[in-house]
Amino acid sequence: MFIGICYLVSLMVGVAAVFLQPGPHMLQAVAGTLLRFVLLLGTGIPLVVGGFGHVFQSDMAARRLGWPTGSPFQKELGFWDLAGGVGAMAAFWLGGDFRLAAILINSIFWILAGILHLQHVFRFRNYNADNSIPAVIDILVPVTLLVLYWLAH
Amino acid sequence: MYILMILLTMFVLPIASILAEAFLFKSNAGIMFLIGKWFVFWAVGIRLFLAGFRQATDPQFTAEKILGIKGSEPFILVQELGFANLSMGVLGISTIFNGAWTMAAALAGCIFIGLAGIRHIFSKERNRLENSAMVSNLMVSAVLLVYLILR
Repeated sequence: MFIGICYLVSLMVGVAAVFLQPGPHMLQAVAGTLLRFVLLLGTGIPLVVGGFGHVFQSDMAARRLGWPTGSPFQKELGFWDLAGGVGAMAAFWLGGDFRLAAILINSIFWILAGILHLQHVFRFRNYNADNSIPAVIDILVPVTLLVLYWLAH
Repeated sequence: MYILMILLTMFVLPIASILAEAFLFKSNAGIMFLIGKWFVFWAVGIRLFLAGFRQATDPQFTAEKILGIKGSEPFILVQELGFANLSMGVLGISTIFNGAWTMAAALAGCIFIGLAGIRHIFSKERNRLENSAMVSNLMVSAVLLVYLILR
């Protein structure tokens, strides 16, 4: 749920930021502004928050996701979330190749993770909201990032 | 086999590549550039890609053979961790073709590998494999941190 809210908020804040900028609003500049906010609020924040959850409240996070508790892999996954999240947040300020690299690393992970969550929805009937919503958002966020990057360049 | 792969990808091959480029190919690039380039390629790229590929395609091996965890319940976690490692590995390998991505890969790799190393410090019953993972993770993370600060 949180991940979906972050995605919507990132788009709304991005649109607000576009209208706060002096016009005219060219497509390339609009996409660039939206991209920065989707990276910061729609990608970085949920990854860092999720990472802290996996590391410091592992069992609670696992139960919400319908995952087994007490797995040593969960903390390591939390570390990746923190690393990817910090990279995505840094890409809000650092442009150019750093931003593209942050988009690529997060897109590959999110799309593959989304496919895995979808597989668990359909194959294992894991309908937990924290599994099924990320299944959609995990695909939607990287597609948004890639489309916005393409439009911005 | 596990320790050999750690030694190769996190120490031997990065250092050999730095020495080869500096002395064999007489590169004009600075030492920090070479350290970043080759540690990111081998320790972040190749190491994490290989680990991620194994975890994503054969989660049973990682769960049962390495950690002794039975049953298929942890497979989703192992696979998701595998995808995480794969994505970081792909970025690390890509830096050999686009050097401008090295800083992003070094930052993500430094945080991820460093935190994984710190986790091993607090593990109560470390075996030989975990000790080698801890030492290598902390050393590579420190190298990447020095690169990020001094580059």
